Amino acid sequence: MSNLTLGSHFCWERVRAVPPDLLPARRELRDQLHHRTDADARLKCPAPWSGDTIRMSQITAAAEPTDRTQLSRLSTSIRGKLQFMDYLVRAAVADVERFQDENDPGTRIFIKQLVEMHTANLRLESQNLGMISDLCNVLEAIVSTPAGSNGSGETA
Amino acid sequence: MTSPNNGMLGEPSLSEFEDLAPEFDDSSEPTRPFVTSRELRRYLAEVKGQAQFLLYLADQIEESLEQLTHETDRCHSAFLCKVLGMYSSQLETKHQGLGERIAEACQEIYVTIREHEIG
Repeated sequence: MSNLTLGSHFCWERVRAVPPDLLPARRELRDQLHHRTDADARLKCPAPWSGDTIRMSQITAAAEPTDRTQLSRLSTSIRGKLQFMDYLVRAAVADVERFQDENDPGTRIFIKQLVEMHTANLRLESQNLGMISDLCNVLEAIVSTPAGSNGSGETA
Repeated sequence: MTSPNNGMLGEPSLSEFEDLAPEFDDSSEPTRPFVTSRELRRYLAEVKGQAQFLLYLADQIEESLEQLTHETDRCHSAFLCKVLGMYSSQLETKHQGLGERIAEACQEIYVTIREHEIG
């Protein structure tokens, strides 16, 4: 590892610390609510009485983990992307400050390359935010599903 | 960061050879002062800056891969993958620029030496 001491030089702990985990307490609360809802749904769910109902439940049950996996992948990808954009912004700003203070022509060219790399990627990332819209669509679709159509027999 | 003026490890600097020069100098004519053109200085700065950039990228790739090996958080892994993609892409494209700058710098050096020898 060469001794590079630029502002953009990776400080992994700092990068990791910036995007905090999304409010663990709130997540815990959400999980509790989720479990409570499931329990309530199970209590309210009438016993299946026809073959069609059983088949539908099996199909829904098979689809749910897939949806959950996709949702998890999408949210992981978005959080990684946002963390990356955060890094790019801070690195580019720090590099520009360093560039203004630097007198050595070679080092200035080096920093200029860094700034160009970070800004080019930031521009690219900011143009590809479609997955955030996808996530919002998926989440809104989940909460707007009519009651009883999720196969759990949950009522509003 | 290593100073660009530092010589190679264990090697004598060029200024140390100045003392030896009279022993090998068989002419009494004064030498024409050697002037490094602004162009050559610019080319050399380009070479140093771009080489420094490639070294930085290689270092960061190494460190990112090491981080990724031990990473358990999936979001941070996704972040590291994006970083690695960026560095690799830059490394792949920028090394060509360095080759061109080196060629330009060397051409300028040959021209300068030739002019000095003729003059």
